[in-house]
Amino acid sequence: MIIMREILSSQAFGIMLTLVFYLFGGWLYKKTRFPLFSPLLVATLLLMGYILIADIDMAVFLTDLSGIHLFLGPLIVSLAVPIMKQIDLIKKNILPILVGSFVGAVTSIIAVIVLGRWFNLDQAIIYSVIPKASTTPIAIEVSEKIGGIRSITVAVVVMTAVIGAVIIPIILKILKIKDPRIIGMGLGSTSQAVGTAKALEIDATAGAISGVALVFTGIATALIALFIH
Amino acid sequence: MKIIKQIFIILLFYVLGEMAAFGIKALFPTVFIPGTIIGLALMLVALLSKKLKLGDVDDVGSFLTSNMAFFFIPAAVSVLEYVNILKTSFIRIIAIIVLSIIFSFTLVTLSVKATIILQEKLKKKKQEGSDHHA
Repeated sequence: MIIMREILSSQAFGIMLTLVFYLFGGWLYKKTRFPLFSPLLVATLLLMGYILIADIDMAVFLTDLSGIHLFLGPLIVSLAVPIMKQIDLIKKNILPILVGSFVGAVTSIIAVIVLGRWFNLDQAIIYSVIPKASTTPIAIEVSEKIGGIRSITVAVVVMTAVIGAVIIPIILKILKIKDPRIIGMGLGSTSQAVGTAKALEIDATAGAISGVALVFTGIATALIALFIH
Repeated sequence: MKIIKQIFIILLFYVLGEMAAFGIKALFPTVFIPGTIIGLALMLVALLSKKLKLGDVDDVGSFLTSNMAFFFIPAAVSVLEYVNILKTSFIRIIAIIVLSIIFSFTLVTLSVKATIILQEKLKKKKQEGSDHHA
């Protein structure tokens, strides 16, 4: 019994469970083609359910998964590979990419301020949500600088990325958008790295453009934040 | 050995990027560029200048980037930790996220399309101009 409990609370078990849930999500999506069944979303919700139902210590479980989390940094650096493979196309489209990234950053910030006031959100929460379109490290810096709350920003950035990577493909389908440049820009400038993962799944060109958009949208957000007070 | 070498090179650029970010922050406290973005830029420069061959990072780099979503699971699960802080405003925040994504996406699409069309028109004009001279 004790051995069993030890195995169940080991790091390997946590990672295995994550892999199984992710594979299950992939299988479910392949079977149904239903966009809400993204492997990331399915695995996340299943793991959350597991933590709540089995009454697992959240902090301990997340430390168990730190082996996966560790790859996030090197992963962003590795985006140089898909970008390099499409470098000619990116050079040719650098102007639309810059324009789209800037528009993405500005519209996201404006929407958050306007909607936040409309929905009567706390000022501190609005500030925490403002940098949501940029990658986590940029978002944290921006949030702290303009008076947001770090942990809320982290949660909001992740939620934005996951939600965007789920709803944008639906919009793309409805509007029958096929241009990989627009697919890449739409995903990269609104849902950064998770959007880029989705874009890479759809099309190599879209993925590379999304990777570049993620970088420029983050930088644009940081620049615009200099003027927010 | 090949894969080990590729992992090493990718981690090297990651560490270099983080170190550069640390240095920049120490020198200019108001500027914040994440180390990962600097690492990405450094690797791209190395690839473009042919100091680094694509083959030296391709297998691991492609593996990581084509399975990207998986590595975000721990970060996504950790949202659960913050549900308590967010509780009363949770639904409103989700609504803002969804609406602002749709708003942003629409304007990004329109602006990108407009820029592409404008760019092509300018190119055509240029071409016509040079044809005329010829």
